[in-house]
Amino acid sequence: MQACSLETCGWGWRHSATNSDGTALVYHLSPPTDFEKGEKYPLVIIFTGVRWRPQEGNVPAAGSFLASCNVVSANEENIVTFYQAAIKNPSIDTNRVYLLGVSGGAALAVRLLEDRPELWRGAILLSPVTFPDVSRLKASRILIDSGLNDNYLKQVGGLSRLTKFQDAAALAGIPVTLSVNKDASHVYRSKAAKRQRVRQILEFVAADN
Amino acid sequence: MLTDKRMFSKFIQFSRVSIGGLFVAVAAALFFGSCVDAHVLLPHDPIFGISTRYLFWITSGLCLAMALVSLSGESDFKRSLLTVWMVTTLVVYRFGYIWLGSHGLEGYLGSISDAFGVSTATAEMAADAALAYLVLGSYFVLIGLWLQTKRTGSRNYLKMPCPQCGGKIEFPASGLGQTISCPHCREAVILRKPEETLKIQCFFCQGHIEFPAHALSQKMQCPHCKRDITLKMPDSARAPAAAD
Repeated sequence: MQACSLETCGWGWRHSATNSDGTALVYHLSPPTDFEKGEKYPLVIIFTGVRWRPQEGNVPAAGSFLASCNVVSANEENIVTFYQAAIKNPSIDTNRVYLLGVSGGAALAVRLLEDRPELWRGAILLSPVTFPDVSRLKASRILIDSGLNDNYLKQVGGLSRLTKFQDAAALAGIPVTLSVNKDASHVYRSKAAKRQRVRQILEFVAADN
Repeated sequence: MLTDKRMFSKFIQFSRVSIGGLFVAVAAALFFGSCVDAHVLLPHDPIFGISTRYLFWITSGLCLAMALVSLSGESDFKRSLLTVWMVTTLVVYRFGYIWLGSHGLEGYLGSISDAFGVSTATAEMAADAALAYLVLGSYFVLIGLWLQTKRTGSRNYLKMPCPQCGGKIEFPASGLGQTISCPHCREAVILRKPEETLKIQCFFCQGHIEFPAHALSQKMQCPHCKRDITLKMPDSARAPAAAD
């Protein structure tokens, strides 16, 4: 791990880190758009692959670093490797590191929240179908954004499953911002739904600045 | 003593206004905290089982009503009692959370912390501090008013001589004007202020004579005809029982 090369590319700074197997992992780190040297910023780690999509691409505009990991190498150990490499940047506030995952990525974020709770301040779970055990969480903020027509979500209880998790988390002292889109399914297709999701993510990230 | 009383009144006034102001602040915080987008769902309250969005609205309205009660007009016992009732309800509600195993209010204050750009821990601390101030302030005002009423109430006793037998009668100021039977001679007596003056006409010269109520039944010279007369209760002020 920790051998980190830096190149610039169109999508932030390209880094590589080596995991315990000796595999070189590539991730991209984008600074916040209002970046100033000497300031500390939150970090959002996403598992959706290195390609620009509005939901994650706009995160730096909300005043946060964005670490984008190659989805192929996204497993728990590799994400922690990315995390450990990314926090070497002195401008990243290690107390404000968030995980962002969509669908399967959200499931990975859930596992990371449970297994390494001390590392994360919170998570952004988009179209999740699994939910963490609140007794294992140390996160202090969670955003869930989901479509009500999500068939995968319906299989695990639909809206009531979301509110059940939110209520359990609230009782455990963890605020969960639950955003639901009544017209969207598992994959957001309409521009309005995508716009709403992006706005929700940006507001969530910006609230911690 | 007078300075102490003034200071005490000012302190009660300050507490009353600050409690009213705090109620307004809490009402505003709850209202703006619940004004999130319609697609954002807030957690359910564990005690009432309704969305905290509605609970915040209801509590906000109640706090605003309490602020109006607290800030409008002079303090009195009933208003303070109402404030204490509201605050005690909030405290009982807060303990209800603890009893249900809640680790704190942080999980329910996410929308408020986002609305005001503070952490949930800060929001919870502010909520607890506001509640503590409301409890201390409202109970202080209530106890203060109660003590004040008790003190002024005990001092507010009047004394007068019985017009028939001259025996001293002590009575609360609130009893002024009432007719009682004298504890000494059992005659009907109208309770009057000791400094109250009565007017009669001289039995001999019909000249007007004015005398203090405590001089009733005494003998004196008429200032007009200089004859000895007995000061009697004027007919117009005679108690009905005595008139009979």
